[in-house]
Amino acid sequence: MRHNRPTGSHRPFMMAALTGIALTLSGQALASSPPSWQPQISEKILVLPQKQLERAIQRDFAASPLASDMMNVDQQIASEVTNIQSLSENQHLYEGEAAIEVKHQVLAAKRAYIGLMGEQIGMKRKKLQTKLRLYRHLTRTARRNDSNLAARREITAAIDAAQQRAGTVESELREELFYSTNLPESKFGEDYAANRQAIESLRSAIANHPLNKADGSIDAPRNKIEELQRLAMSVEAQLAILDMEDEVLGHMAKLLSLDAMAFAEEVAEIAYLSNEEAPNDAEFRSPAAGVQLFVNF
Amino acid sequence: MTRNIIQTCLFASAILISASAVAGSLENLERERSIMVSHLLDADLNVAQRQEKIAFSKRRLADLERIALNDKALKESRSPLVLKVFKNYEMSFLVHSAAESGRSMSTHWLEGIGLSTSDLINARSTP
Repeated sequence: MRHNRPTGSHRPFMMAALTGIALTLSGQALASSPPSWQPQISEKILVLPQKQLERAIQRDFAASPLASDMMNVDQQIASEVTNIQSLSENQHLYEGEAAIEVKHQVLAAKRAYIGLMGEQIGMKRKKLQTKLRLYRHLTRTARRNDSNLAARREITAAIDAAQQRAGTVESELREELFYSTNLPESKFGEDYAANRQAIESLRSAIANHPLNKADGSIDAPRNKIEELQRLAMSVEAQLAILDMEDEVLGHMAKLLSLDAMAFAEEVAEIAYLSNEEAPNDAEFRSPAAGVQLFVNF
Repeated sequence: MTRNIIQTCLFASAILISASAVAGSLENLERERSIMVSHLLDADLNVAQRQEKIAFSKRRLADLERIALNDKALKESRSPLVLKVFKNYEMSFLVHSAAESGRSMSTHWLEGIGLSTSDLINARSTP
């Protein structure tokens, strides 16, 4: 008995073929992997004010494959809605089989709309969950930074207080030094005064910049951690709304299935009525009814 | 054993890091401040010489105080010495605090260590 086992010379070809198949399959797997959003944003955004921080995250999302997919599905949903509306508006213009066809198309469009809406909700959920994870990560980072800062806070406060005190007498001090010592001002002193003036004017411009206006309301967040916690909370609220939207979609699907069942019954009834005009099968069930077939032969 | 060595190394590096953070602007300020005080207390100097030396010292001291006040590295420090310097503003930043109080730097320093003008007059009149 001969065995058809691969010989040594065939083995490399088989290996190459298997590798090729494996690569093709993995390529297909990669190509069919669902679109996602992996934030590429740096932790440095923590220094930004709340609005800018949100915008930076939104920009990061807009560059993701998930965002482009969501946009495509949005466009498809819009076209389905237009289709359903135009079909529903013109439904009364059709009669007979054409009316049934239009009804069928409406049902099919509604089914497509529900499918697309479900897909869109899934992608929205994915986006919000990623955003929530990002906010939680940023909150942890902010908390870690804050605990590091707490150790230095006393020194920073003391230095800030000293700087403020020194700043209030700086111009008097320059005059006093000039008159009391009767010496020319040092090169450092001149440069220091010029730079200080520049820094002060820039600081005041920054403080008055419209984008830097702090939220002055009573409910404004007290620190970065609270700010991030509130952002995470708003994402959780949006996720809760998505759950409700899912429920709405479920009811829509149920209503559509009832519509489809009603439509099927309607079509069956029409088919039944049209069959009544044809020779009744029941009439041939008795031998007497079939007599003519035999007599006329 | 290895853990002890690592702990010792970490401890030593922590000390060295904190020491290097304190050095620099505050060290320079402290050196100039002690020079100014030595001029102030130098009994071999006459009034004019003392005034002249203190004037030079005051100008340098003003610059060094500005440098220390704006030294961002000090904000990163956890040294209690840095905290003490800034908490004791009156005696650390003599030129600025003297300008704030409207007194001469010498008077400000002497009053800071608890010697008022009347104390000094009384001390002279005591046999």
